[in-house]
Amino acid sequence: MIHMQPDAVISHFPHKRMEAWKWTDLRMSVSEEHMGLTRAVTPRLTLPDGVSCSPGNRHHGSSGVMPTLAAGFAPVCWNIRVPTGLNVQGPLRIDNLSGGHACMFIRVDKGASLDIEEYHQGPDRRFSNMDLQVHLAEGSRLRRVVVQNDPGNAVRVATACIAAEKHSILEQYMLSFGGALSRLETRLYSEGEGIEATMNGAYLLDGRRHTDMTGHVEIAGSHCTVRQSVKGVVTDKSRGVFQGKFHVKQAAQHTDARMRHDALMLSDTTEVRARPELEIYADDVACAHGNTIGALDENVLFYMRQRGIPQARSRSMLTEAFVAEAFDDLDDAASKQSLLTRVQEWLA
Amino acid sequence: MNADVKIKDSIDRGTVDSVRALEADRYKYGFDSDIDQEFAPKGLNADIVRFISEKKNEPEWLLGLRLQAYERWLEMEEPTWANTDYPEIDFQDMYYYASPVKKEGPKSLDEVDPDILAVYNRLGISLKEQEVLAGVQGAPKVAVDAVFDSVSVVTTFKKELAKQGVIFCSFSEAVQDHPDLVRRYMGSVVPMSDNYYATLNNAVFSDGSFVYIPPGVRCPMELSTYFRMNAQGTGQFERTLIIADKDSYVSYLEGCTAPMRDENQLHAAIVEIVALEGAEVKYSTVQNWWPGDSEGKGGVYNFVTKRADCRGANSKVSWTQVETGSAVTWKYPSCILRGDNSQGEFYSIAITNGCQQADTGTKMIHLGENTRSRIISKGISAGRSNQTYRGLVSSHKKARGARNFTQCDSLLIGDQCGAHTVPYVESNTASTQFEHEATTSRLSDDRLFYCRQRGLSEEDAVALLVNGFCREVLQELPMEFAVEAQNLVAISLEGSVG
Amino acid sequence: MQAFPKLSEAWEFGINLGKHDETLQSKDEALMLKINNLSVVVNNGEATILSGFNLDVPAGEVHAIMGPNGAGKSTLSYVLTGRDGYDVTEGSVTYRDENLLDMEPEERAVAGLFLSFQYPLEIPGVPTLTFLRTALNAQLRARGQEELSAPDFMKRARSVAKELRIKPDMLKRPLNVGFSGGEKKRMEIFQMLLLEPAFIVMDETDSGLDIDALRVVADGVNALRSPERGMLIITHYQRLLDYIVPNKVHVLAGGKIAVSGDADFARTLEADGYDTYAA
Ligand SMILES: Nc1ncnc2c1ncn2[C@@H]1O[C@H](COP(=O)(O)OP(=O)(O)OP(=O)(O)O)[C@@H](O)[C@H]1O
Ligand SMILES: [Mg+2]
Repeated sequence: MIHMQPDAVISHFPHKRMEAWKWTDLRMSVSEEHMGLTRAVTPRLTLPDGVSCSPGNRHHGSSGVMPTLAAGFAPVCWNIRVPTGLNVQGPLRIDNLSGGHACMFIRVDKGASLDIEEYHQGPDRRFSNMDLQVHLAEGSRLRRVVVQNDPGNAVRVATACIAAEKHSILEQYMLSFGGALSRLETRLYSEGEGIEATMNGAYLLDGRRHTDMTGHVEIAGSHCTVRQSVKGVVTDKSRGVFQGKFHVKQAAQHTDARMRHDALMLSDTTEVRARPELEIYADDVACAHGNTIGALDENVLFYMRQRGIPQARSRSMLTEAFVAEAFDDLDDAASKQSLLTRVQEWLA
Repeated sequence: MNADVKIKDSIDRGTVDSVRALEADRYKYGFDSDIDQEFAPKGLNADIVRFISEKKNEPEWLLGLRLQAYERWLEMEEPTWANTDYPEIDFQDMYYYASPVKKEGPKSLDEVDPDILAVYNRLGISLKEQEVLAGVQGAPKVAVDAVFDSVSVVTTFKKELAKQGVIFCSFSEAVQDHPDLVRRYMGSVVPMSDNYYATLNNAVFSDGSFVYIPPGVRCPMELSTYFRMNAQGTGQFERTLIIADKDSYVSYLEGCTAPMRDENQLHAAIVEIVALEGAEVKYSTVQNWWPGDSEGKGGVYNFVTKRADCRGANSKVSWTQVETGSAVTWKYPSCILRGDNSQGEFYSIAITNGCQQADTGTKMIHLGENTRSRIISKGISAGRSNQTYRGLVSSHKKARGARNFTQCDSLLIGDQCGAHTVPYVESNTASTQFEHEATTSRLSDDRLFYCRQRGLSEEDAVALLVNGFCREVLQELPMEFAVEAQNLVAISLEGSVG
Repeated sequence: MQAFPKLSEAWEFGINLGKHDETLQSKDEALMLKINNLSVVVNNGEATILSGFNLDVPAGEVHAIMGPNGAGKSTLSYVLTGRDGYDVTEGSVTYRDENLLDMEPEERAVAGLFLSFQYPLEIPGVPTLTFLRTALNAQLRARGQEELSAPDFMKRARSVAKELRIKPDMLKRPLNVGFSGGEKKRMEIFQMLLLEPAFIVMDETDSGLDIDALRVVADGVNALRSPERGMLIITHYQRLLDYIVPNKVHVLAGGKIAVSGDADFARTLEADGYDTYAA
């Protein structure tokens, strides 16, 4: 446990002169008025049958300033464990992640399977910093559905570091509505062969909201498959940031990795920043990334209006279809529907 | 090629071995020529800067600018963000001025130092251009402003160009003869302290080319410059300024080779292009400097700042580059799309082999309305080389209707090399349409097999497929360069199949 | 002409033609569409495509428009349907006594104007059926009619699809995404039959269709022929007009109707080419 004054904490925060935070200036976005800078918050966990939780120590080494601060302020790291071979029924729900630092470690043992639902939302003017570490043992599977929906003056950083052993499966779906600043970062370390990862997400921003979806995937084993697709919709004076990186190491032959970011700008005052990066040291790979930024296609809008669909409706239909693609592969109908409903509500 | 490069089963071992044998003289342009040089003393200080300026008989303002740049440079730090790794450069262990000793100044080609002409011969400058140099009647019209080390030695076709009002001369001459143009445009695209190497260039630039195309003139020939670094340990700090006045057009070719060296050579040029209303500039480069031996020893460091300002409405600048040389490359030919409806293009082939490192790409800065840009980048990494495409596409709030399309493909040959893509995209207006696609893959075994089944050797098949991979860029090159470039692609990849 | 017997059964679901005619019936029965001295520029006035263009289409008639590439046929179709970027600098267009040019594209659609696009657009992420149900119900609602329930809509869509030999799984795919050229054209006709427009503009709907598809499409169009409907058929080929016999044939050249004739005139044109008429 560390003790620091709020201003001292802020002085440790990353800022725009640091390459990884170039477009997300955390230091400038937080003030001493933000509650939670120097305290821990205890996540509320709804544990399904067979999943245990106990206070313990932090597992991995540090992976950046923010997780280190979280570990420093949180008195315990919540250790969640799914035993070997257990196919957990029903989701592990995690909420109450606002207004402080939280530290969690989830271990999914060999052949086990777990679904998590994380809700990152809370009252006004909170600062929240979550450090989530995950270990996926051989042949295990994790589905992570993340909803972030904060007030426009809240600041949030959520970092997940996922170490995956061979033949494990990660499915991740994020939906973010931003805040004064939200940074949702996922770091995946594929340590074995045959890992399959899906890392999709969408951000929908209005007002002066800011979301930063950052992904870092390191692939060290062969025959891994990675699919990442992030969709952004921004309007008013909001700003969307996407940073993605696939780092394919020399041994990671037969990697099949695809990254996409597509953003729709619905008003002239918005900003979108993207950096889809590939760093590749193995030759027998198929890696690709794509990025598009633009407005709705006027020709398609005209086509729809020609068929009698009013302009506003045409726009929302197209936007919804655009966003929904990020959740196409989510094969839990209820979970998918709940994400889509949130999207529709935002569009309405 | 390195011994520990893993050879794929699919490849005929014999082919690889025979190519290895060729390796020794692979760099056929690596040789020295003995020409008297007049050196400034080694090292860099304010006096050296004064010496250079004095040698060139420069006006006061230019000396002032050099000194100011030198002061700024002292305070700057060498950038480290590029994906490159090389031993620290000792800036005090270099010469900053060298020129072939002037006899009387050649009045015709006959008077040119035969050694220099011999250098061109051995460089394999195309027959066409040799004819041009030799002044053969009816020779194709390619104007060659030959930069031998630092001082321009030969300029041909000046008269014909002059008829149209086109100015094509060495930068030093332009300083003497067209001071107003130089003073007005120099540094207006690349500010004096833009970056570390550009600032250094401002302090010690040696010579380069100057081009001015008057309003409404379509330059009657392609302007071509061969650069060649020759003196041991001589840094090259070329300075090129191209001004295309209203509604004019010019195509400019730059090509280079360098002799074999043990010591690293630093090359930090600045190229500035200004395109006024309705003007179009096409700038093509074939860069084939000494990349170092197969262990990466020696070789040129190429830290260049190239930038175009599409200042006028409806102007257009197109950069095409074939980069096969240098030990370390750091180069981002860019366009500032300031004029409404202006267009920028960047077509690039970069091939790295052996231990080469290249960090190259472009920046397209959209400021004006309806500005368009197009980026096609093809990177091929072989051997133990590393290559990075680094690009920025951005749109300003006022850049309504801005469009960019980027296609960025990398090919890996062998499993000891790396290919990286780092695009930055920043959009500040909804009417922007930015599209970026990138792929990384390797040569398909199936296609290789198909070619070999039809009787092509492994090497030929690779060359064929790689040329196909680069086609979109090759076809942007002017005719003069296209064939050379195609051969270069094949030569650069010799011994790399795997 | 071949009848289209099964299709009429489909009409019994939802709106029938008679009903919406009551609300939308033209006061001037004789003239459905009247284009008077129309001038159209594109590219912010940089190019004039139509000038001094006149055309009248009475209800119940089918008019064919032919003419060389780039003459402005598609431009005409876009002006009628209100696409941005096509500016009318002179003249008027009256549709059922209303000033068509004052209306938004969707208002024109609600008023019964349907364009079968020369190049139908792909709409990623929006399944064909969702799109169509939204369009149909938006039109019904705007006309003050009752929307169609999901099962009723499905029944009707399936039935029409069957007539046009459109595979049901195609209706689940996003509209036109990855469809072949011919499939896209067939999908336009599918939409036309579902929406039952009062005035139809078909822009080269026959291009890209194989012989069988052409017949299916023509049967569909003929089934829609009625004394209350008007049609403009833009085409380059006589073969479509063999199936859908027009009342009049016009040649668009030099920005206006250069010459007009009867159904046989199209045959002459196909034999002689446009050169004689192009200004
Ligand atoms: N938005 C536009 N901007 C500039 N020119 C345009 C635009 N739309 C159409 N044009 C030009 O207007 C002319 C008429 O085009 P249009 O598509 O109406 O021809 P068309 O008769 O349908 O030809 P086709 O038989 O090939 O389909 C063409 O020269 C075309 O290039
Ligand atoms: Mg047309």
